[in-house]
Parts: sequence; C-alpha cells; structure tokens
Amino acid sequence: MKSQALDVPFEATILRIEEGEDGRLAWVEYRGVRVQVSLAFVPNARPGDRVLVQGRVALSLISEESDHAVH
Amino acid sequence: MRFIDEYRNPRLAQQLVEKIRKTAHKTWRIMEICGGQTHTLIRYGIDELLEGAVDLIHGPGCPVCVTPLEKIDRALAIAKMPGVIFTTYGDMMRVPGSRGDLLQAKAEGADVRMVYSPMDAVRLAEQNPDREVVFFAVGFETTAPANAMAVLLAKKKGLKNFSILVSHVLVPPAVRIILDDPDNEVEGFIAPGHVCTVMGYREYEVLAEEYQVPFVVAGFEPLDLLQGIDMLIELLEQGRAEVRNQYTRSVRREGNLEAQRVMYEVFEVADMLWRGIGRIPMSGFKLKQAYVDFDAEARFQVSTIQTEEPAVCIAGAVLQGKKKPIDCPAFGKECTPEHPLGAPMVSAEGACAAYYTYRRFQEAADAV
Repeated sequence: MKSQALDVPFEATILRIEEGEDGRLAWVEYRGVRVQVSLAFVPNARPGDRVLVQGRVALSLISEESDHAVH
Repeated sequence: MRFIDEYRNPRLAQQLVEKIRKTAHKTWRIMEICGGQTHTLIRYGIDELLEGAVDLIHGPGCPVCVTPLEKIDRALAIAKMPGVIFTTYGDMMRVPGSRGDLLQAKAEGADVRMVYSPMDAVRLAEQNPDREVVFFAVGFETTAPANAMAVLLAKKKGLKNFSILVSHVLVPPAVRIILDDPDNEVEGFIAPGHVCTVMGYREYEVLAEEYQVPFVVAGFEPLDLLQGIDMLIELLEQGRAEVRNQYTRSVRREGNLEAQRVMYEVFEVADMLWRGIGRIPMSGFKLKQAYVDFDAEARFQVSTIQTEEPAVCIAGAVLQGKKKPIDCPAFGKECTPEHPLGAPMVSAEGACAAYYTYRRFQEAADAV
C-alpha cells in the first residue's frame, strides 16, 4: 500500500475502534493491509463502516447507498 | 476483492467508454486536477481508450510537485542542523532541491525520518525531548486538517520541541490561474474527490459560474473516473456550466465541517509560491499568529537560499497542462525515477512518473 504518498487516498473498512490518549483511533483494512487511523473527523464512525483515509486520518464515512459508480 | 473489483469492472468500464464516445461530438479537452487521478487514467489506459473523444490534460494537483524549490532547500538546511529530527512523508524524500534531496541528506548523516502521519512526528517529539522534531507539512486541503490536528495535539501536550515547515496549497486558486491564462484550452474539469471530501464543492460552483466551465467531482478508481468523464461530457455537450458530484459516496456539498474547523483554527489563507507556476495570491496556508511557536521557519533561521532549477526540465509547463511529459526532451533519458530532474518524476502522483511507470516512455522514444 502506497500510504507513504502524500495525496493518495484509500477507502478502508473499520475493524475495531480504540479510545486512545490522543483521541479516537481505528484499525482499518485496505486490500489485506491493516493500519491505525484517527477518527477525529468522523466521530460517528462504527466498526464495519468504510472510511476514506489519507495521511492516516479518516476524512469521511463512505455511503454505499449514494454510490452510483457501481449501481 | 470487495470494494475494489466493483470499481474496476471491465464490462462496466467498456460500457462507459462506448457511451462517452457516442456522446462526444468533438474532442473535448478536459483536465483532471489531481495527480492521483492522473495515475489511474494512465495506469488503466483510459486516456488511450477515449482518444478522439477526450483529450485528457493533466493538472497541477500533485502536492509534492508544486512544493517550491525554495521550501525544499529550506527543508534540507533545517534537516542538516544539529539536534534536528526532520520528518516527512516518503514521497518528499527524493524530491530534488537545488543541491540534493532529503535522502541524500540522510545518507550524509542528517536525521531524516519517513513518517506516515504528522501524529507520528508528534510522538517522536514526545519520545525525544532533547531533540527538535520538524514535520514537513506539505499537501493540498486534504492533509491540512491532519497537520492542524498535530499542531493542536503538540500544544495540548505542551511540546516545545515540535514544529512544522508549512507548504500547503489550495486547489481553486490554481484552477483560476489556469482559466485566466489567455492560452487556456481546458473546457471542463474533473475536480479532486478527496479535496472536495474535506472542502465540499461550493468553491467550484463559484468558478463554474464565473468562467462558464463545468466541473465534475470524481473519485480515484477507474469506474469513478470514467463515470465522471461521462457526466462532464454530457454537461459539455449540453453547454451547461454546472458542478456535478460523481463521488457521492464520500463527498457532500458542504464538505467535512469538523475537518474545516480544525484546519481554520490553526491555518489562515496566504499567498503561496508554486513550483513551476509562480506566486499565486491567496493560494496556500500559513500558521495563524496564535500558533507561530510551531512554525519551523520562524524557529530555525536559514540564511538566504539561492535556488536553481535544471534548465532542461519542463515541469512547470506539465503542471499547468501546457505540455505532456513525453514532450520533454529529458523524459526517460536524463530524467527517470532513479535520477529525477523535476518533482513530477518523483512523486507517486507526478504526471511524469505516471507516464514513465506505465511505459509511455516508449512512445517518447518512438516519436524521435
């Protein structure tokens, strides 16, 4: 996963959420790779949700209902 | 693989290609702004599939590529200072400054470390109270919220040894520069889905109205881009200067308000120098006065920097969509990912790197 790149976002699934000293963190999975990301900007995220991640920060909750690329 | 394969479905892709080719009654010149989108388009050969219907022009949306040389030289100078741990995203490590890059500085003894997030740099500052930890805060509106969050966290923790070297740029002012250019040939834009996830797309509605050009906000997968192009071609064919959102699964019109709140708590809009383009008014971020203690430029006095760009490199024209990478005489010869002359050959989002990685350098060789 090219997560060392600045501007390459990826959509990942939240596996579990932890309350850390530095805020709410989640372990997410993308193409078999698991990384920890901040949920500071998606306070309503829950395990099983998909999020758009960049720079190890979740930027949005992915809404499958409104996804018309594949429907 | 779920959530991957459905966005790369060849059957749906072919249907969209056929639809676009049927809808387009001329070759439309459209610009994808984001470098991540450029890589998808070149990697999957979408530009070739649409040849004749669409001429894809690659935009300036590669943050590594537009980081000014002066800022990279300043980063190198700070990284070489004793006691400094200089942290950065991986793709900044090999971006050439006037005299070398951060990886070379590391090889020569500077403590340069790749991190995945600015939070990693904050943790390093906590773990190394006797060292100065600097994070190279580069990027568009997408990375600014995380960088702002790092500054807030460092402040909350009372860290005095953490600072950021800010080089944040904003997309809409760069689009305005492109549209103001008398030689501009771009007729419509694919707007970056991740930037709009943070910022929403109201700013693009203003641009669409003012310049009478359509925008479609799109994601990064092949089907996202094909559908975005399809939506844009329909708008162009109908003569409608509107903004549409293809990336509805992530982008809301107002964006992520919490991310914006944190970003504007720490940063304010300022003039910014763009590599290859020049100074663009109100096109970047600087730290607000309340957070100036975290400003690496203020903390580390660097003497006057004399920058020097390689004369043969046409990165500026590539970033403005005026030239394609294969138009460069150095492409694939003096300039390769192993020995880059310009930033677009280094970054995971640079147009030159995309053309090289996905074998377009052969086209350049054939054209000679």
